[in-house]
Amino acid sequence: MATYVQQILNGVTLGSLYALIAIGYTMVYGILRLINFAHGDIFMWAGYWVFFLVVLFHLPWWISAICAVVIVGLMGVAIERVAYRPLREAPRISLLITAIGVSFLLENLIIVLPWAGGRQKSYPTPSLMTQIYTAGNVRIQGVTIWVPVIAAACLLGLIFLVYRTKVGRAMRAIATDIETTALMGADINRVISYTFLVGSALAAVGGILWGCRYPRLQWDLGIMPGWRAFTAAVIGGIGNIVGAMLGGFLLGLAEILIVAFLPGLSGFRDAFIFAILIFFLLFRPTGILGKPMKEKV
Amino acid sequence: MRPNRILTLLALLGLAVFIWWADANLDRFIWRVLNFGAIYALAAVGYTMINGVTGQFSLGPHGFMLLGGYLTTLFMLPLYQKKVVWLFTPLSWPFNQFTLPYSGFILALLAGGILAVLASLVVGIPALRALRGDYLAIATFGFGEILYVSACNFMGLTNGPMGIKGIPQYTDLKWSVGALVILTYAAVRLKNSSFGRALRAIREDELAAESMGINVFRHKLLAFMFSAFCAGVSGGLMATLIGTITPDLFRFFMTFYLLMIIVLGGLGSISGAVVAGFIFAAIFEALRFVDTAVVPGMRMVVFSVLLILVMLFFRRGLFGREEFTWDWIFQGVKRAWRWAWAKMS
Amino acid sequence: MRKALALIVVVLAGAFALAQEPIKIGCLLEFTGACAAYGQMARDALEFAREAGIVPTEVLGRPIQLVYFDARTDPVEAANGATRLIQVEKVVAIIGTMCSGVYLGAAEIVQKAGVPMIGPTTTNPLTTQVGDYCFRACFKDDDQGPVAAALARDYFGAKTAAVVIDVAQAYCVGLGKYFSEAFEALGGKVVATLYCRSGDVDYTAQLTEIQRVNPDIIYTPNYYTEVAMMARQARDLGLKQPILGADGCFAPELIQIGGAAVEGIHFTTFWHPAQATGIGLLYAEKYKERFGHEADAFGALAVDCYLLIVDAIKRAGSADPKAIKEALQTADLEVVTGRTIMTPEGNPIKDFYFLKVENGQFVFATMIPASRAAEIKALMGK
Repeated sequence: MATYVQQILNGVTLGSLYALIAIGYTMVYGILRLINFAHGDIFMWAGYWVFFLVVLFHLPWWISAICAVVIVGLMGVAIERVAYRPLREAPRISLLITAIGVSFLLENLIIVLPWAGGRQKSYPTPSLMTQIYTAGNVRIQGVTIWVPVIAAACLLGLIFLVYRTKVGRAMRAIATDIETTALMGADINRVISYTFLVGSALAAVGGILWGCRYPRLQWDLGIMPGWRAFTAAVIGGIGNIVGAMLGGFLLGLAEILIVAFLPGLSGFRDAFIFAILIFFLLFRPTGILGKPMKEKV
Repeated sequence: MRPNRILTLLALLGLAVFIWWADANLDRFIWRVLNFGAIYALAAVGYTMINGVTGQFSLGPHGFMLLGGYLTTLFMLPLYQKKVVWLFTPLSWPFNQFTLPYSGFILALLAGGILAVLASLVVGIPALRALRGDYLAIATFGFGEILYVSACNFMGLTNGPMGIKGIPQYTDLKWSVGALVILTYAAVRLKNSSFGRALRAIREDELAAESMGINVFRHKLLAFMFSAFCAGVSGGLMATLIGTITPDLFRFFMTFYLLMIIVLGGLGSISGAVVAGFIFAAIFEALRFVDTAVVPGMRMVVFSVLLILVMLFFRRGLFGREEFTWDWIFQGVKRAWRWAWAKMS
Repeated sequence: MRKALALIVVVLAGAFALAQEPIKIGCLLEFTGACAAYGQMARDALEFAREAGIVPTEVLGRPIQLVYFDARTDPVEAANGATRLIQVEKVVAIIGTMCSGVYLGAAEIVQKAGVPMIGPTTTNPLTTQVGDYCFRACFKDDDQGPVAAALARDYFGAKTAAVVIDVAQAYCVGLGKYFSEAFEALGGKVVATLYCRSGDVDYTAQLTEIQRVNPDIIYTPNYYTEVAMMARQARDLGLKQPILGADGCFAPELIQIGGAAVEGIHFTTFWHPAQATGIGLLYAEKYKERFGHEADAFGALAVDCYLLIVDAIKRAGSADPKAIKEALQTADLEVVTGRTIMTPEGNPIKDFYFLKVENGQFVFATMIPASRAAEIKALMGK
């Protein structure tokens, strides 16, 4: 019994981490119809920024974490400005290819940076996160408690932003029809930059917490979580924030439980994720919570 | 015969002579780069058919190359190696029963291509019917990853991550460039036929093409199958060039390279894909000094930046959507001549 | 007369220039990828050993030049790198690679080209089977597995074991299977074989299953980051079993990433500086002075390869790759990790060191001589 509870808790932790990344993916997709391949790598960079600030500049962990979120948010804005904005009128395939290029660039920059490099690094973790609490036979790490709490808080904050602020209204408008929104006088560029800022910042929070749970930094750290987050976003309904959260939890739980019940198949973990993704894309592309999108002729 | 035809035939003849000489005498390092160039170009030709000419964004050629590479290997690997390499899970039936001699090489390559085509049906039939744009890209990418994971786990067939060594290195310029020439010819003929026009119509406006009576799904599928065939054959050639394969050889970065090549050559240009394939192989080696002189990994940074810059400023690539014609050379020569003449007067 | 003098001067100058022409040794190492730590440790060690004068920097009157290439933990890159080193740089021998799977990528090339290549830590048996130009400087996994099994049985008294194998690494798959076979042959029982993949960060599912079957020992023949992460999660889950690893553990990242969780981990490896003698002792002392921490086995073995090649060149009296290969096959040399006696198959006879992590340091536990490995294999009926 305790084992199952343990596994479910693991699933919840993993799921909340995926949810945080998925929210950012889904925001950008909802507004720009762009699958930001580089999102997973932004998430990885956040972990590295904490590492740099703590280990090289000797800042306290909490300050480094907050700075990392801000810096990574700005990185997202910069990427959009430099690589995506010039291509907004271009065919979608160009945007996607550029996103792939940005992704590879972010990954390989880490390899060439002398303070990071190809070698794995140990992520600094605060004791609040690594502390173990026991409840009967079940052992709970601090991270397991905090991640869902922080994820929920972020979700609430985001819902507030999107549904109660002017910027949020503009975001929703752009998601529905970008041309008309521009005609109505909204500053498209500013809103899109804002979207990337918030989306990247959320990915950064995810990255910082990820490091607390899995304290190993590596250049390809973001690739698989990025794909899982994207799968989660699709499962929940791409473009739908609550859906992304839901999808994240479901995927995290599914991943842990599949490997728990079928340990012989744990080598196929990634294959399962992609199979789930393809299944949803083919048979339920709008996900669980999404609205069916009508295609106008 | 039309002058263009004569020129093309002469060029091919010259190429054949060069290959005959180069296979025996060319510096082995340059020879290797040329082989890689031809292999990349071959995969790129197929890739640009689906991505560029038909406008259907597939991100899975690395999976098809994997299939082609492994099947060709399983056909050609000597029986002695088959016993030795599969240390734990013995190689499964029927592959442990036979091996093909050199004369069977073309059969092995074709088999690899055909397996890739079959796989493309598995993912293509559902995906091309239902998905477009980004979602199609993701689905094909996911399929490629599933193939990679499967290759790592089905050790009875692939020996998993330990890979397979001792593959007879049959690939030389006559095979790689030969395959390239044949499939490029096929691609050009396809592109210039009504089939090709239909593909381009689909790229421009799928709905309009459909209403004009084009069976959009069938055309997409055929283009996809062609690209899979090219990728499969190039995978087989690569395996028999390097002599060792592991699943890691066929990861997403391979698709990234192909993407770079077709973007550089011009999305939708067959000749662009061929030229860019060779250029890419050459740059890849030439930039190696960046890895050693500056810092390891810098080469990939340069490539990523290059891809982004090409996408931002030079999206048409070298040839745009056009194909190379002899007229270009004539025009170029005429212009150069006129310029020189003007300078001299 | 003047013409003859000029001619003599030219000839002498030419001979002098030629004599000064460096002997190039290629270093095909992984600086990026899963084995990045090993390659970087190797390079640091080689550069340090040359600087500190522990190894000769010239032989046969010619200076030795090392040419580095990043094999990127990718067999294809290794193949390309080997080709370039041989064709363009004209190296006479190659040191590398650190990882077996990567070595296999280059092996056919060096065999065909007739240039010897020594892998410092390539433990998979397949690597030297490619041909007589393929060597290694370390023991093989089909010995390391049985030795680890014997240690599990004797040192820990384990009757049951769980094995966690990384399916994405040839080294791990091989070693895991060798261990399992040996453990069962020695009377133990492998109660669970679980799989993971490099790059996985979450092992809780596999570990919870291990908790369920409750073995006496857990064998994790994986690379350092995977072992560190696994150990952390195992201890978080409350697993108290001893964890037994293999040579892939011996990197500082194990302790950096693993922290308190890796205290008490034991593993088999190639060498420990505390046991060094002769040139090894000199190397270990100077290394500690220079870098402030203990020398590692990966660097030590890379230096061993260097010494073996230089010795082979000296004995052969020439820098011709074929001659070097023949001299290597009969090598019997005191190197950093002890005495290395090479066999014509390219596999040296080496002892096994058993280390543990204590107070955040790698501490020597015991040593198993090579002869014992042969005994164990005989017990297994091999």
